[in-house]
Amino acid sequence: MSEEVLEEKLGVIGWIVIVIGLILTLFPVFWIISTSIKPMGQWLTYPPVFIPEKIAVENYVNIFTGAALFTTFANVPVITHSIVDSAICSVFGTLFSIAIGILAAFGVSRHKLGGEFFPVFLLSARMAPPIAAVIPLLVLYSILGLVDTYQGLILAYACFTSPYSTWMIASFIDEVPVELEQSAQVDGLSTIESHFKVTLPLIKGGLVATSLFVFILNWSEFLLALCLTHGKIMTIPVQIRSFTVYSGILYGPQSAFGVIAIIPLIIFSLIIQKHLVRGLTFGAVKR
Amino acid sequence: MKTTRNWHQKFLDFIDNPKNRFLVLLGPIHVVLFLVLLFPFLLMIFLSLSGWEPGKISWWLAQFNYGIGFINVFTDARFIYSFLRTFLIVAPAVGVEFVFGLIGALLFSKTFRGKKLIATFFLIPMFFMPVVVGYNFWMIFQPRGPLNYIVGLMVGRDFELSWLSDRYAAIAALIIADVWQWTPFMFLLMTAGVLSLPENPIMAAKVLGASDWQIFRHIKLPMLKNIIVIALIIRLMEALKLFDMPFIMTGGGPGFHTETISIYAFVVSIVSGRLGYGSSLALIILIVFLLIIAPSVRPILRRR
Repeated sequence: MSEEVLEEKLGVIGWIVIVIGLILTLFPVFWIISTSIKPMGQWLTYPPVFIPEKIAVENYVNIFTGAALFTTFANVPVITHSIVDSAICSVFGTLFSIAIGILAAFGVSRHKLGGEFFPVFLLSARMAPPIAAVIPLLVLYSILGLVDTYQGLILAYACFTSPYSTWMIASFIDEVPVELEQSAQVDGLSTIESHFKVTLPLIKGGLVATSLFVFILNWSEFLLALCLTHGKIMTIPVQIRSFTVYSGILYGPQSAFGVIAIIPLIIFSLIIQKHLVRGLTFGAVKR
Repeated sequence: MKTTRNWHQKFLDFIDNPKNRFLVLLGPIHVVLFLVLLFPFLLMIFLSLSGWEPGKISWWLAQFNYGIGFINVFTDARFIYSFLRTFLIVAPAVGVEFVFGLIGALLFSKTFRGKKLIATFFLIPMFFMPVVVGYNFWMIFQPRGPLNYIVGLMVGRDFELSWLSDRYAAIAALIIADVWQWTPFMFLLMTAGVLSLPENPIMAAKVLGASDWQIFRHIKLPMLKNIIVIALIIRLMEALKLFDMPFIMTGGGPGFHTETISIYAFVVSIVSGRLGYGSSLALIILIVFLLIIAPSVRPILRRR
């Protein structure tokens, strides 16, 4: 009964709004894909080419093999190095962040450690602009010799995403009843053991979702990588930017690079779609 | 063998002792936060009060500058403008994102064919890397790019606005790009809110003959208030950090006309290497942000 009353059909106006929205949303997506498969010479033409007659696979090949496009004029940079660097920094940064996040989440969720101050502190750490932290961090890193190293970037990534991992994991832990742990403790497990042997296996799915979410943040991070590395290590966003700076004419290969860079993001986001809201709101909205 | 077991046992006892709980559970995150955030913060205070820059003189020879850096910040017109400009870009962008997101969520509370697939399409921009968004819109906004061509077809004559080199159009371009990327965020959160609305009051109102607008204005909107506040706060905070997209699209240009606060701080401290003055800037930025953040995190924490 209630279903029938509430289930409203979308009217014509609604459809018009949705179709316009879809066009506006998808046009930029279409444009980067279409540029990435345009052969050289069609990148800058006017009127612009929307759908190329022949698909230029070479854009995708060249960024892996490198090629001299205008003979001596511009080389297509090879991107393999930056993919490896991005993968190393994002994966280890994520693992590190999740590890400290799990511990802190148990502290916050199960023991109310840190009182009123810790949650505010953690949120402020995330909400403060990273540029304010990165300036002194650069000084600290140059003293410690961490500039342009994997360790340095991994540490920074772990720190800047730890509020997300802590809040998100804590919100998953909150959903597991304490009674389960208590009964395990009656059976002889210690408090910490009951955390790790009872609750942790139950939130496995949540941990995967949190890891992917944090990975997405690390993979697209730009400012920290830009400031804390000087070329020995180069993450994907930094290299995308260097494409523009050093060879602003390589529309095709650069778009191909952009498409490749966002593929893992889209796949991962679709996997964790159900938990996206939770991650984005620090667990405040669970859906 | 026996000693290892002893050590193992001692380790377990140590971990499980309620006295050590804070150390064990919150210790690691504090070490990381201290190393990456708090220690640099202290360093930042030192740098901004002494104007010391690495590589020039030894730090213990640096002299107290009586806070001259802070005075410079407040008389720095470029800083003040970049600050105001950030709000000028962020406020309309977040506002439009919110309205679009809410309209989307209300439309998606109805039933229609292909709903799930279309919803996924609508979320795609959010998954783009900001750097890629910047580069993509940089292409689209070229004077002889696709956007001007399409506008030209619509108005029936050549349309040649150089979006990214006109001081006002560049701001509009940044707002458009931001709206494109982050409307899905609002859409997602508002959908979560609309889905969690209880059915009974809405049904009752409908039976009593309330119009759609009345139901929205007097029933749905008040019940959505909490999630709207949370969504706006989070989006506003993230938006104020605006760096990647304008940095790629305009690099702060033409002139300084699209320079956001983050870009200016970056230019001062990383590009020109003035870390001392950069620290004063960063400290002021941090204080202003914390003044905005502190009261606004309450609604988020209350929900937990």
